[in-house]
Amino acid sequence: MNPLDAITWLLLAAAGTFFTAGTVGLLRLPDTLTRIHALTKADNLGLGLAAAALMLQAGSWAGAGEIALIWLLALLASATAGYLIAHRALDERD
Amino acid sequence: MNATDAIVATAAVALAAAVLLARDLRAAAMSFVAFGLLLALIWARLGAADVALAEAAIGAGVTGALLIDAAAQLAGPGRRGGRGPTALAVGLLGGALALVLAHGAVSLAPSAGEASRLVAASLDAAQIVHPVTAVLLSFRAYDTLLEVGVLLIAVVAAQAAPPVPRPPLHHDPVLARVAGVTVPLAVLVAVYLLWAGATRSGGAFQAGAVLAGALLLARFAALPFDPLATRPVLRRAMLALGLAVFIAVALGAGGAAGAVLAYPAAWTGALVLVIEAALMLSIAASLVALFGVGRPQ
Amino acid sequence: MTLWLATGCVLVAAGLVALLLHPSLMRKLLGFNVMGGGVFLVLLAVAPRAAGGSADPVAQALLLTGIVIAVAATALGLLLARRYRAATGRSELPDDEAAGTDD
Repeated sequence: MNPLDAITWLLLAAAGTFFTAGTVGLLRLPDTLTRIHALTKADNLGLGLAAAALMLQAGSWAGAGEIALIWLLALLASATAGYLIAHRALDERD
Repeated sequence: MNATDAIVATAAVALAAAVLLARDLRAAAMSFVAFGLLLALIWARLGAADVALAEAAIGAGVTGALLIDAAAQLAGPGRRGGRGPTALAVGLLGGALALVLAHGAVSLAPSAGEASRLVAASLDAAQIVHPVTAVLLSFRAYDTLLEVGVLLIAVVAAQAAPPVPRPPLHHDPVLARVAGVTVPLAVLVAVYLLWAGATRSGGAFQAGAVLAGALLLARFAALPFDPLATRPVLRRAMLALGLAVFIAVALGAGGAAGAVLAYPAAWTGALVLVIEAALMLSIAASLVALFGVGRPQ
Repeated sequence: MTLWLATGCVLVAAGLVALLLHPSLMRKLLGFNVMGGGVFLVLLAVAPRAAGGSADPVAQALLLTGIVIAVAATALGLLLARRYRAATGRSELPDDEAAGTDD
């Protein structure tokens, strides 16, 4: 297996670990705020690693750039969603 | 079939169970968004790129948003049924249905691919590059015309009932800032999807759904940009535009080409783009109207 | 092909059972949507694939139409459910025994 594919596999395995960690946090942590904390951090990092793995396989600079831009957009969307849900949970708690 | 497909299929069934057996309506609605995205993955796996785009935009995006919105308003026990002999009987009925369906589908004579061969052979005559666009807007254009009509009927029916009172929307500065960046981006993506639909996967439906998402986001974030709320004439025009343009082209260009919904050969590309643009605007306006969200005060 | 066909059939059956058994209106709509997804999967599973690996264009066109109609129906159904809730305060249809006896 050539080194590029090996690194891709490594990155994907790491991404899978982070996603699993985020999911375990979602299932085991007590309330909404702690769950959002775990999810946004672990899942965004996992997504970044998966995006990096795919960028290596993209085959062209343009394709890799597209994947990076998609990752940034997903980051923005999930950060905003996490903020809105946490805000709402805070309101509901009071 | 390989291991990835088996895992994805199992995940689809598990997510469907999560949707149907969730403990409350909000959880069910959110699980449905995940289910829709997994379905989009399955369509991509089966080689249906246009359907994957549409499922992600319309099936997971718009339907998911509708369900989450409704779950907030229909709050209540959201009781789950399924106890006793009736439930057992219905469960057996469902199992029997699944087996009958599978048996019927498996015993179909393997399709000779007649339809796709005909489509591939007629693409040159139709002057359209992408096969799905050709089927939607040339070979089966009548179906698409009626579909737009059905969408308009649904909007009329939705507007016929008096508006349901809903709790006021909160104004959030972070959302406003993020929407200020994301809404123009979404409009750009919608126009690109429309443009790409002529030669690649894309087209009016996916573009219309993304545009509807942009308009709804602008409304939820209370951005100053909300043309549909402030100009009712524009709103009605946009709702009717798709059907009107489609019928006009069907009769007008068809008159020139000799049959209803036939396009004169030299004008096909331009006419298809005009129809798809009108459809995009109409579908966006229809989806926003079906959402039932008024302008926040 | 058999894997996707089986998955689609399971989804259709599960959606139908949920549609019939859940009393809550919104859960019925969720069952309807899951059933729709299953029907589309069955349709695409039996459709032949073209040479380049992409699915049959006629089946894809049918599915596109189906998805749009499903979202319109779901939106209308949810609006009606909300309207019903605003008018009667219930989010479930009444049982036949409670509705009175008129044939």
